[in-house]
Amino acid sequence: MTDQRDERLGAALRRLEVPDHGPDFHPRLMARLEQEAARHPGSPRRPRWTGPYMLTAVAAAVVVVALATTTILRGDGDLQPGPEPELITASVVRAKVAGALASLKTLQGEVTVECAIFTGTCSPTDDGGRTTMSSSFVTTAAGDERITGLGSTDDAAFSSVTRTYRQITSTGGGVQGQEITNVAAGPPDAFRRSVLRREVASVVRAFLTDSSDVPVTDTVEEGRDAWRLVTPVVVNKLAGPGGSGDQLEVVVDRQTGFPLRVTESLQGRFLQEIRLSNLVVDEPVDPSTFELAFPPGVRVFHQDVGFQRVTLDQAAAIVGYRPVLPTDLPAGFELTEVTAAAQGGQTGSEGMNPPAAGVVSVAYRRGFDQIVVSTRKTGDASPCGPRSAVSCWGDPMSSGEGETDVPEPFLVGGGALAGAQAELVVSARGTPHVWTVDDRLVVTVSGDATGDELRRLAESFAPR
Amino acid sequence: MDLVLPFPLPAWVLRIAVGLGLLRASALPQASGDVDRLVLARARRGDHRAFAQIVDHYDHRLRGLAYRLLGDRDRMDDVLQEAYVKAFRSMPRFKGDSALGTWLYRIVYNACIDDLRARKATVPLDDRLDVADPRPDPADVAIGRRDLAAALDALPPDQKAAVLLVDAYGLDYAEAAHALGVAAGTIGSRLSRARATLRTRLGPQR
Repeated sequence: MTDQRDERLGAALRRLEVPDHGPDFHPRLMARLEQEAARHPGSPRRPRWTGPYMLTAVAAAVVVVALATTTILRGDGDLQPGPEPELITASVVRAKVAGALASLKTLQGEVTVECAIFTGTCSPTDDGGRTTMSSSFVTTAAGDERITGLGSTDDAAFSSVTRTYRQITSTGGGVQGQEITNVAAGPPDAFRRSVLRREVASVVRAFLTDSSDVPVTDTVEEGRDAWRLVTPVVVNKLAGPGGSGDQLEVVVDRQTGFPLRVTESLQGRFLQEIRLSNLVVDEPVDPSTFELAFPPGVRVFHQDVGFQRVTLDQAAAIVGYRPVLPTDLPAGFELTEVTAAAQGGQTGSEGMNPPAAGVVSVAYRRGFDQIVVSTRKTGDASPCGPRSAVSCWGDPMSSGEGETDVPEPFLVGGGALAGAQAELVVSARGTPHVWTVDDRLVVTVSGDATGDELRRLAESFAPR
Repeated sequence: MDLVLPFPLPAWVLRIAVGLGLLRASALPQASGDVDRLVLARARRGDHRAFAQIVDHYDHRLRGLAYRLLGDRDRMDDVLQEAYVKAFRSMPRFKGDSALGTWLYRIVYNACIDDLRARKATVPLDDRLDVADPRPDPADVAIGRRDLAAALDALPPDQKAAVLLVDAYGLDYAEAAHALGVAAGTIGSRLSRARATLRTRLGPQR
């Protein structure tokens, strides 16, 4: 094919009038960009650790607690020494993590992050030095979150009751607020809830699933006998030179099972570290903890994501098809939330999947564990054209072009999705998931499940 | 010594020139188009002021695309707000396997199509090939801006975007295909139909 261009038509088209922006366009855009930058990993302003990124760090740390804790703290948060095992392996740790996550109800504490790179969680100093930041946090099995910066005005909360996320951020131009309402039950439609604890929990779970042969060695950390787990991770090539680690190190107190630190490094060079302290487990939490009020005069940006909490019958009326859901759930999981929207957000790498229509997002929970099932119409008028709508879709859960998820393709062997080509993705930097597409629906199953469990889930779908 | 171009040339022209040995490869636009690499790097690290420079650089053409697709300045502004914020949010993951401008065109085009769908506008996306049209090329007739604007407005969004990106903004078929999320062959068919429709609408006014 030759790239024939009609130059004269093009010249005429270029002479057509194009209106300027309205007078408030640029101020509005700059304010929004500044707000985004405040949450951006590489914000050039003062180092900060706030909002969803702060949630990510806390989430990672929280899960590491569960990962490593063989003895759960109760009530006053004092450490309760547990029996010292003769031998422990990563797979043994994984089994204990599963039990801890499944039974946890609430968790409170403080988390400290130290970083030497732009991590998505914090930023180094302007001269490239390390930054250390701390925050208190409270989180529940129902999904509530409250993250409050220590020594700053930054604050963020998500209420599972109102399904509203609120955030207060200090920027160079003052204090700004953000409110996101009617969020979906979970990914890939979770919008800014996508960084919540459960998804990061899945990352850690994936890390463990992938690392059953990771050796556990003895070490001494700050004078205490400890276990040290080291595992390689895939470098995010788009993070820039030195911007992503090739190794994670988890150090766990041997006597108590308490995590002392988690460190990410690249070729032995320190990148970032997370430390936990003052943990309190399963202490009752006042529901008002998760209601964040905006100070008077603060400019608040609102976003209504549009997902309604409904019954399955109501969901069918909204999306125009009868929902299909898995029937073979791992033991202990219960259906806790059904949300539906006539229009969903964009999904996939760089958000380049076709527009989502008729989205059902369903959550199953077991303690802090969560599995989310989403279905959306494949559509017949995608940018790829009606004959190729299926091929227009990519993995809705893609972690971005910089990541190197390697999917494992398989043919769904049973249930309502039987015969569909599916992909299983379990990697240390993303949420474990299965996705598939046919000429009717795009389906994702993601969360705290092993690869085998995800396969069984995909093969057990039935109309509901 | 590399040739310094006094004016921008379409990427396809530069590639041909390089292929013929008239230009060195270094004269080709970088992955970021002709945005300074340092500005791009800063934007990818979250510097919103650097991203604002990028917006300034591409805004006129992106505005043109959005306005022609949506037909209303306020909607254009609303959609571009969302598209620019989304692009800024996605900057750290910009892969660089397409020009930055092409990547932005794609984000803006998708945002416009989303807006049209949300407003239940008709967005036909028929990929049927048209036969050659014997009527004169629309550019050969005396085209009044108002007539051309009206004729362009009557095109379906997918054809409108194709003719703007290729004929007006100089993208080659592959770049336009990447921007619009279709195969290069589809760009050819859309251009063929768009030009035929413009001939039909503008031809009688010769």
